[in-house]
Amino acid sequence: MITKTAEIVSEQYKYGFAMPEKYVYKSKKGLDEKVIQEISWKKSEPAWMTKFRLQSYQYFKKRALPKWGGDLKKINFDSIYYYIKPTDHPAKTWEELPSEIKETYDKIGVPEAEKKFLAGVGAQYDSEMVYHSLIENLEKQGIIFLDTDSALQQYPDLVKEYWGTIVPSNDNKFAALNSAVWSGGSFIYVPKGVSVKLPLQAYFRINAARMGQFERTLIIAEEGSDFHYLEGCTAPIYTTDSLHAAVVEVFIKKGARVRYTTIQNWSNNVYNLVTKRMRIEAEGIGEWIDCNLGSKLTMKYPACYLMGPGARGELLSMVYAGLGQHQDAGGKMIHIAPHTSSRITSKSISQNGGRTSYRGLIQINSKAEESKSRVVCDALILDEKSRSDTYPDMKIYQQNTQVEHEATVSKIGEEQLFYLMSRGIDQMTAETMIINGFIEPIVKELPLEYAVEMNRLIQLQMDRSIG
Amino acid sequence: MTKIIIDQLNRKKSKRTLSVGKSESLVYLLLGLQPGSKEVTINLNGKGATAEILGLFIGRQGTGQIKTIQRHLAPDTTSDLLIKSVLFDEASYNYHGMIRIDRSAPGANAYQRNDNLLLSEKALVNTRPELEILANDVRCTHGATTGRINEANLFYLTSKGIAKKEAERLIVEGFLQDVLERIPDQKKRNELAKQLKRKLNHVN
Repeated sequence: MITKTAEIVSEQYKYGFAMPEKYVYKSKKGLDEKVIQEISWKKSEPAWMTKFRLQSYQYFKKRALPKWGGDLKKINFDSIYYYIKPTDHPAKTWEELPSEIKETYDKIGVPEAEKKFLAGVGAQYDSEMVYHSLIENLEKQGIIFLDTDSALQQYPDLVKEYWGTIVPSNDNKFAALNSAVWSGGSFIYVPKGVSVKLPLQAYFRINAARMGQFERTLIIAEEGSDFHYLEGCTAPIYTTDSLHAAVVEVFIKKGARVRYTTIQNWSNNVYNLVTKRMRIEAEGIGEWIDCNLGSKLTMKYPACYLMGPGARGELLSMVYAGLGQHQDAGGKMIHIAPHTSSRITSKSISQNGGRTSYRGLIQINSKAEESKSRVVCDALILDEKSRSDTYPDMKIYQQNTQVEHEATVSKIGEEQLFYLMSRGIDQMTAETMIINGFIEPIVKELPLEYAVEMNRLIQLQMDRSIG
Repeated sequence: MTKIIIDQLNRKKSKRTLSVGKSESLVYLLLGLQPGSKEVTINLNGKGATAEILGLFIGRQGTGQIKTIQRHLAPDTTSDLLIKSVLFDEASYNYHGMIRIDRSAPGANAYQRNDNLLLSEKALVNTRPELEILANDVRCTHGATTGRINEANLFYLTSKGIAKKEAERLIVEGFLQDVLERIPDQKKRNELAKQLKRKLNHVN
């Protein structure tokens, strides 16, 4: 396995900000059946996957763009490269990154190695040894933690059994697109009763640290297992790609518990359109922690399907929208079995002309007796150019239930600000303190180093908007 | 001077738009004692305008469909919405509310609340209380709850020797009372209370 790992590692160093002309292989612009067949062939995929991709492409063509949410009309599907095989050598240097991105890296204090790696310029990587022992340790417990392409090669039956079963390829236009052209993403399998103490980080898996353009993640938590998966990072991810459409499927068996944390910080030219779903069986617990800071437009509504009695779903969502950004995020809780419970906590901040929208669905089906759901959304609007929306939907087909929704939208409280400033704190610092307090319930659930970075990042956004 | 408008939910689908001008005050009540569909838009056009939007739906079968739009267009405007539904038998209820605060309405205060009580296994509720806030010097909150009669309350009343049916009726009356209490006219309030009682005796 170590050799395999080494292969993955070395192959991965090819990823980066390499200029397109230096790629070893690049499909032509736009999409047709030939491009899809080529992608599948280059990856030596089993026939069923090629078929799945082609079928998905048909769905993609037929599906209309959603008429709600953000403005998607400007996406030009014909001008996108759908598959790029990276070069053998990382080409772009740290210096070539936009200065704004570099500055942010420095200010939030991303570790040097991670910084270089994210920029795609690191040839040697300090954590390599840590990574090896980590993987070895996981393997001993029977855990599979791979990129999805490798998983399809090594565990085709396991992948096939679950693939596309909670996010069918015809679910929506972007899920169909992902199903047709997916590449990369994480595959995790945790056996029965195994509990993983440290978070499984895409960053440690190295080859997925840079989120792919059409990544596909599949997670299987067997009975009674327990772990935390973390993807993304607080540092902004610079990319020239304009469209990212990911699909994530998480299967939580009886009594298992999975926490899935995402920190999305794409550069502000990216459309981020993601379909994420968990299927939770009896007594299982599924938790989404979803932080969205970057992108031009995000449309993402992580969902929990509560399939077995006693299942629980939770979503903590935090969004920030600045100049030219629209964050249309929220979640869905679908109660199918009795005694299920769910909770959504959403915190949003809009500033400098940014727009945040909470969009959510709570559905209590007729068999879901004794179920409970609670949604709390708080929004801060920091100036008169910005906007905040709340679009909740509650569908209740069962009498024996309790469903609650509440939301508030306001600016920073005058009294709070006055109180802090009367203590000699300047306005800027006082505002930042109040905002950090506002997002605290979500940030405190992040691993420490990310929490620290998140607070610094918010502060930086504030500084920028003043300057 | 506060203007009071009492409107009825009719089987015929209808739309109504009301405007509240500078320093004016409106109380609007939509009484839903039969299935039907209504869309009400309240435009707060003048500085300091206030509106109270109230609604009741008591259903046994068929669908009550209510859509409300609280539109704040001028500074320092206030709107407060409370709509409650009680659903028996095979009733279904569909609420879609929108608070829209335009950039031209700093100092706006908006509130929206929808509570639904389910008294039957076959009753259905779909509620969508929405907000679109384009100004920042505002205070806007909303909430929605859906559930059945609180077991503890029911137990308390029945333990005092009140029959279950009667206890349920008392709880429902109390639930709806919150809406009636907001009508600033004693005579109208009493009249409405009587009307509701008759309706509840009939459905329960």
